[in-house]
Amino acid sequence: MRNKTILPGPTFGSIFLSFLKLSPQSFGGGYAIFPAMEAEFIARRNWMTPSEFQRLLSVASSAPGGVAVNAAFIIGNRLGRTSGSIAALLGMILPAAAIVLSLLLLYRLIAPYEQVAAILNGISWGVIGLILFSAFRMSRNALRDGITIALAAIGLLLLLVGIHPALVLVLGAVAGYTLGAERSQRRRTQAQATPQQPPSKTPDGYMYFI
Amino acid sequence: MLHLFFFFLKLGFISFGGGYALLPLIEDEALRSGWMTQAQFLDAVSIAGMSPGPIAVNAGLIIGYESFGWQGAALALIGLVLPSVLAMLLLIVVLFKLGQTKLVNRIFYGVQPVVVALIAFAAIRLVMARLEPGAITQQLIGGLFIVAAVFVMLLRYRVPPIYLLVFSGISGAAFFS
Repeated sequence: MRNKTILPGPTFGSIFLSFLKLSPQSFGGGYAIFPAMEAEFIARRNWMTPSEFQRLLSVASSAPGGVAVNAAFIIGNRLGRTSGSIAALLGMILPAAAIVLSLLLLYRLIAPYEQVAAILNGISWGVIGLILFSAFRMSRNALRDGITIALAAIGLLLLLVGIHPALVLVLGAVAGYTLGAERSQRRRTQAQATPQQPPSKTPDGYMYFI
Repeated sequence: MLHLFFFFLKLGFISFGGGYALLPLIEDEALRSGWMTQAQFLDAVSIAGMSPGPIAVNAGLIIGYESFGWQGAALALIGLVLPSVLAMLLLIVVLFKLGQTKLVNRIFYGVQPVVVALIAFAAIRLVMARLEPGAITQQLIGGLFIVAAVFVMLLRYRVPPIYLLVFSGISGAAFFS
C-alpha cells in the first residue's frame, strides 16, 4: 500500500520506463505480455482500474497491427495523451529491436556449429507449440457457434488450397457483416445482463490471455 | 527498399490477431521479392520467436536488416508500427468518442474465426517446412514431442514462454544432433 502512494503519477519518463521493463518480457507474441502489463499498471503503479484496463486491451486486440504495439499505444494515450503514446511506443519497441538485431548478429557467428542447428531446430518446434496455443486461446473466444466454426474450417481450407490470406480475411469480414448482425445483438444483451462484467464496448476482443 | 517499406506498411494494416497470423504472408513476399531464401526465412522465424517483442515486428526487423542493412530494419519497423498508431487513433475516436460498435462487432464476428484459421495455417506451414526429406521420422517424433510438451505446459501450468523456448532448445539438442 505504501508503495502505491509514493509512486509518481504517469509522466513521460515513468511511462517509458514501465514499457521498457515490460518489453523484454514479451516472449511468444503480443498476447503473452498482457498479464505482465496488468501487474505493472494496476497492481504496482495503480494507474487505472481493472475494468478500464480490460477495455483498452479489448480495443488493442481487435485492431489491425501488432497486439503488443497497439496495447502500448492505447495505454500510453490513456495515461499521457500524445506524449504518453510516444513514450509507450519507444519503451515497447526499442529493447525488442535491440535484442532481435543482437541475436541476429550472434546467430551468424554461431550458426556453423551443428549443435546450434539442433538447438534452433528444437526452438522452432517450440515456437510452433506457442503458435498452436495462440490459435487455441483465440478459438475459445472466436468460435462461439456453428457459423464461426464453419467459417474457421472454410478459412483453413481456402488457405490450404493457396488463396491469399488477405483475401480470406476480407471474405471473413464480409461473412461476418452479413451473418453476424443478430448474433452480436444477442451478445450485447447478454453482456448488459451480467452485472459483474463491465459493459465493454468491444466484447469480442478481450480475454485471449487467460 | 521502398517496396519493403510499403509491404510492411500494408501488412500492418491487414494484420489481425497478432504476428503469427502474418508469417505466411511475410514468407510469400520475402521469397517472391528475393529478400531471403526459404532456409533464411526459417532461421528468421526461429530468431524472431526466441526474441521478446511482437513476432511480426521481429521478423520484419530481421528481413529488413538482412536485405538492406540498418535502413531496411528501420523502414520495416516504421512500416509495421505506423498502422498500429493510425488504427489506434481511429479506434479511440470511433469507439470511445462516438460509441459506434455494432458494425465493428459484426465484422469481427466473421474475422476472428478466420484469424484462428490463419494462425493454425501458419503452424501447419512451419511443420511442413521442417519435415526435410530423409529425416522425416526423427523430425516428426522429436518435433511432435516438443509441440505437445509446450502446449501442455502452457495450458496446465502456465509456464512462461521463455522457459518453454529454453526447454525446446535443450530438447532439440537431445533429439536432433
